[in-house]
Amino acid sequence: MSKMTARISVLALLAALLVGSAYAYVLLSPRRTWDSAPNVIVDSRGQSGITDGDGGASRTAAAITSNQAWNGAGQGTVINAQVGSVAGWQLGDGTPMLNFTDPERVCTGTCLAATFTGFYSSRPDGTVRINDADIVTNTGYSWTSAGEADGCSNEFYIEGVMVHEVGHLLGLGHSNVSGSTMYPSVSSCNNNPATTESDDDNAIAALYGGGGGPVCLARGTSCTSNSQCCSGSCKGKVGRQTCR
Amino acid sequence: MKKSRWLGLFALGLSALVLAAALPAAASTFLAATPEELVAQSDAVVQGRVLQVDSFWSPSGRLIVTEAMVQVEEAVTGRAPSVVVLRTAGGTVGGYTIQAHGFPEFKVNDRLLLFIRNGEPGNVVGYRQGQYRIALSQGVEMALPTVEAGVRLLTPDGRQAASPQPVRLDVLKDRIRDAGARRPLRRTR
Repeated sequence: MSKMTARISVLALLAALLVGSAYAYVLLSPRRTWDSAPNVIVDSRGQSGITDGDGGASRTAAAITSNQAWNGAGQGTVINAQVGSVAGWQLGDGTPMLNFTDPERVCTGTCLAATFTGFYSSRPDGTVRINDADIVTNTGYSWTSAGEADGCSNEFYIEGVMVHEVGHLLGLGHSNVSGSTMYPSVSSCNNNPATTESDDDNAIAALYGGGGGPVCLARGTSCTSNSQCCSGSCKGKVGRQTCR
Repeated sequence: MKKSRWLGLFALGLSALVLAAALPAAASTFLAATPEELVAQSDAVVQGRVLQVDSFWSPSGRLIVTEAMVQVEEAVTGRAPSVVVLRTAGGTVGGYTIQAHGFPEFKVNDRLLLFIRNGEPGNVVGYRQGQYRIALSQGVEMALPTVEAGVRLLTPDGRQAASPQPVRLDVLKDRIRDAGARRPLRRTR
């Protein structure tokens, strides 16, 4: 290989990596969806420390069903929520719950909030049907809501964090588009993630719509990256890879 | 530009490509922790190989958990038995999978560097920030973070933290030993 060819190859590879890193939303792998809009039970006990009347429960339910969030993405109602008891919190029971505590004590230390998704085997096209998804919260951190009269001071907005977590509940991964709800960072006292942006809407369309985003590739179809496949798995020798 | 620099760029790009292809998507929200902070929260930092992985419903029946048996090749700092059992949330039982987004995952024969808390079972400190996969790259052992490149890491005051990057294993281990020497690890309960 001549020096020029080698230099061009390296530049092309770096350019491809840069382009790849600029790709917007990411869907969880394997690709997964609900058959119908889930009804999330939001913990009626609220989050201790939030002084808006019910510990942020009502505001959280309103935020995740708002037309400024996932239900405003152009695909109709993709999520429902109501405040209720989460006493029966359990993965696999088919009832998605947003728990303001952590019954199994799995979200501790550096964990702020955790989302669990449950599913059985794949659909024929390689995607999976979400059977259940639950969210737990680390009560060791300081939380606030937009309904608190004393404003925010080094606290995390429950609405913004939970709209983000519900994005995962719906099947979304993280986006590298700054300002989007699924962008992987949020600062304290920043509730912007409670409002979805166009990149978030595109992600929902890709999962739950008919024409808003790229269609995933079924098993056996030629592919070049995991994200192209419904199953999230593109394997084989370079140039002859197929979705598994 | 010298040939060696072009080769270096090519190797960097190839490594990033391999890394990107290997990491699964992750979710949940975590606070960032440096290796030094993780050392302070750990009983030990070990390098080892996964011997066995078992998943089962937790005693409460609410969640599937997975336990990994890890043969310890080296206790980089702190004390650990020759075989440790580590528990994490998520797994597959009877055809039903619970994916605990952002939690450590284990596969048999994985070689890992782990920040751990001893116990019966123990656990990985810092979730995926405390778990590095060991891989050979051009004859050099690299410690690859299992944290997704875009995972949500916050600093305690809510600002964005840099995601961990691949690093030479020997360099990371030196850093861990230094941290262990400067700041005593937790006493084992």
